[in-house]
Amino acid sequence: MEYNLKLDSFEGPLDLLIHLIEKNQLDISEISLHKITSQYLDYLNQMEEMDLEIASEFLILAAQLLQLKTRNLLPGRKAKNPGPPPQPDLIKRLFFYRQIKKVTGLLDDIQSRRIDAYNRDSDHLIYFLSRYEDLEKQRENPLEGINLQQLVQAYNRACIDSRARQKKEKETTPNWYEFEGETFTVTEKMEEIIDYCSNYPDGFSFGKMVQDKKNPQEKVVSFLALLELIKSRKVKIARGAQAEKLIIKGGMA
Amino acid sequence: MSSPPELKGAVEALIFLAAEPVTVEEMAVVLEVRQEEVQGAVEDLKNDYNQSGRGIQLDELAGGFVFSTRMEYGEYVRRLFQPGLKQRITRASLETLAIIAYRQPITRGEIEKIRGVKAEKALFTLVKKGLIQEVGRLEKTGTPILYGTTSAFLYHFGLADISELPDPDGIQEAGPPDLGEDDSGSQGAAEKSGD
Repeated sequence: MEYNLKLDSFEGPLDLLIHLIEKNQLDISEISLHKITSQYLDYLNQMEEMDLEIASEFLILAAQLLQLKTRNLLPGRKAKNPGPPPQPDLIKRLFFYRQIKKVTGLLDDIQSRRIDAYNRDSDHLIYFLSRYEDLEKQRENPLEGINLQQLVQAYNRACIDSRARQKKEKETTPNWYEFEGETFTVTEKMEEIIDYCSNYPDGFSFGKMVQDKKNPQEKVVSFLALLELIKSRKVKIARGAQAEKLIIKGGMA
Repeated sequence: MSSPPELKGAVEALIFLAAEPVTVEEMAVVLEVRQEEVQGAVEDLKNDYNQSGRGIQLDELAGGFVFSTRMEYGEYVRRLFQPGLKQRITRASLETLAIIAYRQPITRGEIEKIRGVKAEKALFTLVKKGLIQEVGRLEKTGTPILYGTTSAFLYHFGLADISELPDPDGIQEAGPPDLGEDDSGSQGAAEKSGD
């Protein structure tokens, strides 16, 4: 596709026009505008196809472009106005806008150079020395090398494992199950995970922790607790020997 | 009270402790020397600090002198102090900021005419960041707000004053195109408010 540009990369219709003019290696002139009018309209069509809301400014400019083009097509008008027709307002605006674009680029360069230099009174500078441990924690990614899919896989696997185990148990134990109004809280489960962490300093799998839990609600709450602990960086996750098995380790707090 | 024996050292002390850029005039008063002497000492000091290997440089920012950390060490400064101190200005805001910087004082309407798009959001962001401020009202219907850049703007771009802005193709002199509105932009600027 010819206009596979990032659509939001244009600051407005003038920006788009400048882009089209430069892409076609034209100068800013009325002739150029005639040449790129159809490309401009194509672009708007493409935006529409992509279900993007076209800002009214783009449409107004489309109308102006078409007006310029049709004005020249009208017979008789040219004869009445000898000499060059007055420069359309749009041309002047484009010239000026192009200058603004240029200085915007220059300012961007300046800010890139300056952004790493700090002053004492920078309003944004908070005089607040982080504790070294905090810094270390900030730098450490608790989910290093793990993606969401693997996390979910580990959870699913733990569920399947324990279901299989329950099935086995069911075959050997009386055929009843008591549904009690048990409630599990995330806080409680967080504490349990922390306990596990101290019992298994080398880490443990989530499956191991939930394998004895028969109530699915308890498993879900445990998983939520785990996520909460990861978020608050109290535990970290590492990949186990089997790829889909994740090892929980404590000790980040 | 008398003048310090080592002027350069005294200037260094004043700038070192200052929270805001110190001007040559201010230093000349407290040091009881002529401004030219202070200026000379500042230049000397600047050269000292520009020797390689220093982590600090002496900058002229927003009309005065301040010490800045060298940009090579920005990453480490961010690590020790809270990060996210300075944020890049986005393209959309930057374009609006550029128009204001080169055309100030200017109303929102004029900015929008130049850009061809609404500028409300960009203006809001820039005001919030303290990079621009209301500098007056245009004396015409609706008395629209006139915007101008602030010293925080100079700071952000490391400029001593607004004249240090790059001037490609003489954009500052070349008037904006006649955009079909009465060009009374500079009249209302008379009643400047703020600093």
